[in-house]
Amino acid sequence: MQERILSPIGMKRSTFDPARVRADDDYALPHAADLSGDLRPMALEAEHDVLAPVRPAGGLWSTTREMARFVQTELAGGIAPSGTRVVSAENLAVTGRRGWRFLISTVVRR
Amino acid sequence: MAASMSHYGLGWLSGEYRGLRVISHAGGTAGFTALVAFLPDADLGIAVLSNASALPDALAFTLAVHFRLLELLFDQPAGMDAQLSALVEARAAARPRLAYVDPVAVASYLGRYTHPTFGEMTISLRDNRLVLDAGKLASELRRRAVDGPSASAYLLHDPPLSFYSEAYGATVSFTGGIGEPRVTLTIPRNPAGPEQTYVFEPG
Repeated sequence: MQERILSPIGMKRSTFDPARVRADDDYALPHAADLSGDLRPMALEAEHDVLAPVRPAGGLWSTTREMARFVQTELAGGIAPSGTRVVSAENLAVTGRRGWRFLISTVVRR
Repeated sequence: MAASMSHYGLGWLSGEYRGLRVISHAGGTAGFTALVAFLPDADLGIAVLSNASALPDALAFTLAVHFRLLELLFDQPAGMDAQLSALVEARAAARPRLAYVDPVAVASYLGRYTHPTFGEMTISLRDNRLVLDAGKLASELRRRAVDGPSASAYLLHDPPLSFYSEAYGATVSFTGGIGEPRVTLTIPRNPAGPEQTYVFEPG
C-alpha cells in the first residue's frame, strides 16, 4: 500500500500505523456522543481495536489535504498530482463500474 | 430522485446527484467519520473527514456536508440543513432521560472484580459519580430516570462503552449485596444472537 498507493500519490502523513499517528504532533482526537448527547473526546487508543481487524480495507489515518490528492488521482484517471501513473485508466474504470444493486434509496428527498 | 447511492462496485458506491454520476464511499469508526466522493463528469472531488461520530446516524453529518457542497456548487436549493436538523431533533427526543446513581445505594459494590474473558475492572465513586473502570476503557454509570432511585441496572454513559448501551441496550447491574457482590453486564439486543450476560466476581 505504501509503495504502490501512498508514496506515489504523495500521501506522506497517511498511515495504517497508530504509533505513527501518536508520534505526529498534529492529530485529531476521536469524539463520540455520550448518552446525554454531548460529544466527548476519547483516547486515541480506543480506535485501535476497531481499526486493526479491517486494515487495509479501512483504517487509514489521513488528512483532508492528502485525501484530496487521492481524489485528484481518481479524477485524473489514475495519474497522481506529481505526474506518476498509479493505476491504469482501464483498471481504475473497473472499480467504479456498477457491480450489484446495493440499495434503492432516496438520499435527498425533495 | 435528486440523489442516490444505488450500486456497489469494487469498493465504491455508485449513484447519481441530479443526473450526474457520483462515486463515493463513506465510513466511520468509534470516533471518526470519513467520506470520499468524486463526480468524474464534473471533474469534481470531495473529501470530508471528521473527528466525531454520533449514533444512530454516525454518517449523517458527513453525508450532509457532502450534499450541502453539491447544493452550493450546482446552485441547488438548500435541503440538507433542514434534514440534518430534523435528524438531530429526533435523536434528542429518543434519548432516555438519565439520573445519577445514589452513592449510598451502591456502597457495598465498590471494589475490584474479575471476569475470565474481560479481566479486571473496578467499580468506584469519583466525585460522587459511579464509575466502571476496565483500564483501557472506563465509563460513568447512570440510571434511567424512570427506574427511580432504587434502580439496580445502570447504563454505560461515556463513549466508547456507551455505544453498547445505546445500540444494544447494555446494562450493568449489581446483585448479592455485601456478602456476595456480583456485577453483571447484560447485552439484551446482542446483534449476533441471544441475550448475553457476563458475571464479574470480586477479586
